[in-house]
Amino acid sequence: MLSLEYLQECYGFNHSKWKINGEILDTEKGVKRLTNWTEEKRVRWHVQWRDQLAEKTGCLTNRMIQTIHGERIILSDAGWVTLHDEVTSLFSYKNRENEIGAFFGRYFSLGMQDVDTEINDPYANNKLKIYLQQSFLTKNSTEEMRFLEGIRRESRLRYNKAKEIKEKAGGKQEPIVAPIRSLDQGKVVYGQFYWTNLKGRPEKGYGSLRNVLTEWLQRYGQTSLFSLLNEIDKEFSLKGYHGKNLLAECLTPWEFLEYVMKTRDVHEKDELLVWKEKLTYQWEASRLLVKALGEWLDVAQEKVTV
Amino acid sequence: MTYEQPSSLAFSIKESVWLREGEEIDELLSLALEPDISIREADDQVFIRGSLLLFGEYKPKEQDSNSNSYSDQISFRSVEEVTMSDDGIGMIRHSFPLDVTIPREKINRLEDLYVTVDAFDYELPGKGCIELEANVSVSGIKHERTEEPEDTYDEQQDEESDDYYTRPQEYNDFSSEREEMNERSFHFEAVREAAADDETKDEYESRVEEIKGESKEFQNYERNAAFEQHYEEEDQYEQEENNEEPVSYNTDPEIEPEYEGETEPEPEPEPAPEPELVRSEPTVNFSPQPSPVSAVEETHELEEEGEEEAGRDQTEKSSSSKDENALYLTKMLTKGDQEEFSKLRMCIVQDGESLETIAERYNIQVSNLIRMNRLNEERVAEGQILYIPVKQTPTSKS
Repeated sequence: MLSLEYLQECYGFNHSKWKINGEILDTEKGVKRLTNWTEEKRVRWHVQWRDQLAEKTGCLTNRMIQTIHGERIILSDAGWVTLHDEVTSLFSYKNRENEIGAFFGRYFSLGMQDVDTEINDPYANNKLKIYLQQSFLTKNSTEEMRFLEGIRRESRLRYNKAKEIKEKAGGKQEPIVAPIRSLDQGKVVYGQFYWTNLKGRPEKGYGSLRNVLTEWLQRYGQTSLFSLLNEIDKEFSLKGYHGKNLLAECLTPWEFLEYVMKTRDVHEKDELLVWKEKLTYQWEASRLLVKALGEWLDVAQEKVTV
Repeated sequence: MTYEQPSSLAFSIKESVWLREGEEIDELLSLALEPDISIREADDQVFIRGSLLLFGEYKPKEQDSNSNSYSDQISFRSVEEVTMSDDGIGMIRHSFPLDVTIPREKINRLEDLYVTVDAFDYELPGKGCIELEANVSVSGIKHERTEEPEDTYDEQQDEESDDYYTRPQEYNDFSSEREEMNERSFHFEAVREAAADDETKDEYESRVEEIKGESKEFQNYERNAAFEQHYEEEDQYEQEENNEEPVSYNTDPEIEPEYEGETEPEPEPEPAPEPELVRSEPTVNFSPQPSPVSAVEETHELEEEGEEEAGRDQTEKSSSSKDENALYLTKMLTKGDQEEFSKLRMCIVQDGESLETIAERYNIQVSNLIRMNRLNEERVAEGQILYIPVKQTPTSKS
C-alpha cells in the first residue's frame, strides 16, 4: 500500500489522512479515491476513455487526477494506481431524459474501437449456448431440476429469437465502452451530473446499454424510457442495426446463465431460493424491457417507413 | 305389455381446443377424456352434472415468429408462466361442462347410472389446435317399451329385423335405444361458464327471432349430415298425441349447419324386403333461448345431431376467430329456457305405409313431409327414415 507521504508528495497535498485505508483519502482538496490496477494497458485505455468521454459529453467524470509532474498513473508495488475525486451523492434522473439521453447517446458512440487490452465480449464464449442445449432432467429429477428445465426451454426460445434478430441486423461494428452496471454510477456534485466510470474491462456490445434501460424502465416507466430512447437515438442511432442488436441483447437470457453458474454447487434450499428470486426478478425485468423496446422499435420503424 | 331392461343414452362430441400462443404442440404424448360428474336427484329429475375433463401431455414447440412486428416476435413468458411437468412436458387441461337431466322414472337405481367415454380420438390439424372426437354414453337408463295398438309388431320379427335391417350410419348412436326412444323423455345439456358476449347475443337473438317467426327452422343432426328445413305453417305441427316421450336435445340455436348435397341425409330405402320394423319416433328438441348461465359463442357438434355439418361450420369459424372456437362442445348442449321450441321426430317407415298414411297419422301435409325429407318422389320404402316436424308445447318438455 502506498504511504500517505508518498501520495502527498506525488499529488501536492498539504494535509491528508485515510478515511479508508488504502482506498479513500481525505485531503484539503476534497475526498479522493485510490484505484488499483493490475493491467497497465487497461488503465491506459480507461485514462483515454474518460478523457474522451468528458470532452465529448461535457460532463464531469471520475478522470485520473494528475500528479504534480503531470502523470495520470503512478506505480506501486502491487501495480498501477490512479487517484480520483470521490463523489457519493446520487444523481436524480427524473425528468432529465433529454440531458441524460444525450449523454448516453454520446457514451455509446464514443468510437473507441481500437483497444489494446483485453475486452469483455459476452458472445465470445459459448457457455450460454452449451447450457441451453442440455436438458437438466434426469430419471429422478428434483423440483429444482424441473424448474431449471422449464427455464432452459424458454431461455432457448429467447436465445434463438435473439440470434435471428442479430443475424438480420447484420454483423456491423458494435460499440466498445467502459462497462455500466447501474444508473447509480451517476452522481451529482455542485449541482452537476458526474459520471463514475467503473474499472472493468472494456465491454463490447450492448450489455451496458441494456443495464441502463432496464433500470430506467423500472424507475421511471415506459413513457420516460421512450423519451430517453428518442434522445439516445439522436446521438447513437437505434433505428438502425444498433437498435436491433440492442433488442437481441435484451432478449438473450443472460440471467439464465448466471443462475446456472451460481447454483451449480449450491445445495442449500434457502440459498437456491434466493437465487431463484433473483432470477425471477431479472427475468421479469428483461421481459418488460424487451416488450417496451419492441414497441419503441415498431413505432420507430413505422416512422421510418412513412 | 311393458318390460324393462337397462339401456343407455349415447352421444358424440367433436371439439376443437386451441392452445395459447407460444404453447403450441411439437409432439402430443398423451391425451385422455374422462367424465368428472356428480349425480343428484331432485323433483322427479335426475341431474348429472360435472364435466368431461380433457388432460394430456405434450412436448411444446419452440417456435419462431415470421411477423415483421418486433412486439409479436419477441414476447416470452415469465418465470411463473413457464410451468413444466416432470419430463419437461407441457400439460393440457381442459374441462367441458356437462349437464344431463333425466326423469327419475326412467332410472331404476341411481347407483346404476354411469357416464362413460366409450370412444375417443383426436387429430392435430395445427400445432396449436387439438380436434377431438368422443362417444359418450349415459348408462343405467330404464329400457321401457309399451305395446301400442297402432304400432303392434311381432317381437320375434323385430329381432329378426335387426338382422336384416341395415341401419343407416347416422343411427348407429341410437343402437341401444332405437326402440325405447318412444318412451324416453330427457334432455342433456352442457353449459359454458363464461357469459356470452354481445355479438353472440345479437346473433343469438336474431336466431330466436327466426325461430319464433313465421319461418320455423328445424335442425336435424346426424352423424354425417345435417340439414335444416323451414316451415311456414307452424300451426299444422301439432303435438303428436302419443304416449311416446320425446328425446330432447337442447341445443344452441346458433348452430346452423349448412346443407350440403353430399351430406344430405337422404333417407335411404332399404333394398331388401324385411319383416315388420319397429317404428321409432324420437323427438329432438331445440331450445331457442340459452340458459342464463350459458354462453353461446361456440359451436358444438353432437353426433346424433349432425356433427359433421356443425364441424364444417366450426372449421369455418375457426379460421376467423380462435376465441370463438375455443369451446365448442358445450354449445351444442346449451340448455334453453324452452318457453317455445320445436322438435323433430324420426319415423321408420313400416311395411305398407305410404307418405299419405304417415302424413295423416302425424297430421301434417304430404308436401311438408316431402320438403322436410327432401324426397324426390312421393314414395317411401319400408325401413326408410322420415323426419317429422312437430311443434312442442312447453308443458311437454321433459
